[in-house]
Amino acid sequence: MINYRTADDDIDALPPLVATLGAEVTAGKGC
Amino acid sequence: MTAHQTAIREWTADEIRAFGYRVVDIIARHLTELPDRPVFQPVPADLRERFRDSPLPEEGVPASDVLTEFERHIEPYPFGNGHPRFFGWVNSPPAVVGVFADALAAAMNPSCAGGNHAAVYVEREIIDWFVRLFGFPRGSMGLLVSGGSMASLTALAVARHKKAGFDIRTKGLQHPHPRLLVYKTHEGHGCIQKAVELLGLGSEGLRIVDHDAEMRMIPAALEAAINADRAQGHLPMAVVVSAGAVNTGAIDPIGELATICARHNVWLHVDGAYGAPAILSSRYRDRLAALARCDSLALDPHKWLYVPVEAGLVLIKDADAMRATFSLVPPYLRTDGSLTGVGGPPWFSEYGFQQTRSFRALKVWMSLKHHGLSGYRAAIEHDLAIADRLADHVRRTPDLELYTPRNLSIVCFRYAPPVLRAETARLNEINEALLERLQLEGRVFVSSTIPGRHVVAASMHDQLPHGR
Repeated sequence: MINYRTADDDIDALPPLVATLGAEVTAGKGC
Repeated sequence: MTAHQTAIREWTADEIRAFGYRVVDIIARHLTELPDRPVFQPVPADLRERFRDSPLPEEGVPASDVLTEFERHIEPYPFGNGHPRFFGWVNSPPAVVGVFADALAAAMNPSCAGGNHAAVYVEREIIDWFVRLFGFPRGSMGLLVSGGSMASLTALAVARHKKAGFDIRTKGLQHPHPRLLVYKTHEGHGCIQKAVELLGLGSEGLRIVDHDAEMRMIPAALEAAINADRAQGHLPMAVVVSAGAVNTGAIDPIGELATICARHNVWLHVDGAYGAPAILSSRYRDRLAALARCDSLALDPHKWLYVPVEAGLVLIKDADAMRATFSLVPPYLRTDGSLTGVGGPPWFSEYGFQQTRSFRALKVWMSLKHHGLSGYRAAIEHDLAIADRLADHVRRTPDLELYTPRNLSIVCFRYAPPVLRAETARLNEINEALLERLQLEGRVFVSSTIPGRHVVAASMHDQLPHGR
């Protein structure tokens, strides 16, 4: 059994985080 | 005389152990506690000022005090690439065996210009391993260098020597000669332009060849460019192609381009600094088999082979040309070395620019020994799999746009809600801003950009697990 460090959760969290930040940045720019 | 100066003497074995054990404790803590810390945090203003304003020390202090300063002011602010959520650029995390190999190499501290000591044979063994891995003929030569940039510079220097058609070492470029030209695409690494400029060809000597939608050099465009330049009386010298461009992972059609280079007597250099180790994977083995056809290859063990920086490698098929490019020994005095004497085999300093050279071979050698090709194959397959997982998730996430085609372990995407997709400049601005926020928040670290389109680029390189 090989133990890698990056968990599935680490990967899965990235797309929604980018989407959320993108929306916040867009809103901040007056969209 | 100060109190500390009077105490200067040779270190005892116990003192070396005590200091070393403390260093080991710091390393162990650093490597194991990183996941609980922010991925990245900038150096605070007061510390930046401290670095900027502190004077050159006149008096020394005990080594333990220096270590304390390291713990307080340096270790807390890493680049970030040891963290499991660092997906920026192509920077592999620190791997334990390589960390300590660096210490062992420094303990021996040889100069690897040449000689008949073990470090020389370790480096030659590594070169031979890679020669076999990439299907180069026996008798090819190589050299460990600082990284891919120096590997490519070294290779292009040999190409210039071989293809110039005159004695460039004696004449230089300061007499009439055809314009020497190098070809690459926009995706080719920036170090190629630096190398072309350093080699005296001038940036006007760098031809940018069109790429297709997959960012791969178009073979017909290369051949047309070579023909047009020859018709103008210029001398096409070298073509530089990518086996894994660092922006997108694009892999040029190496086999087709090799055929064109052979037909036109042009040197083929492959920048495989990042992607060449993917030849170990089942997915990329066939696409990278054509690496055997190039004249030279740049590879960074400090990227996908998880060796601590700096560890670059250049392989060159024509060992005689490599030696003739750099050796200061007149050709009629060059020998195969003195294997029973002090001199050892032909010196590495005859094959490259550097004279004094570090024992960087040890960390490559120990890493390869410990993990074996099977360990690296598993790690690379794993990285490809987690990149697939991220890409699938991006594809399913509303308002995100996946950049395709994908290659290797890089996943490029951007925030692009449908209502804004026609507004390129605005999207670039939004993605640039969100990227910086993402990096500074410390939860995850991604980079970067594709020319003309600001995107989030995640480079998936997980921790290299323990070997056997």
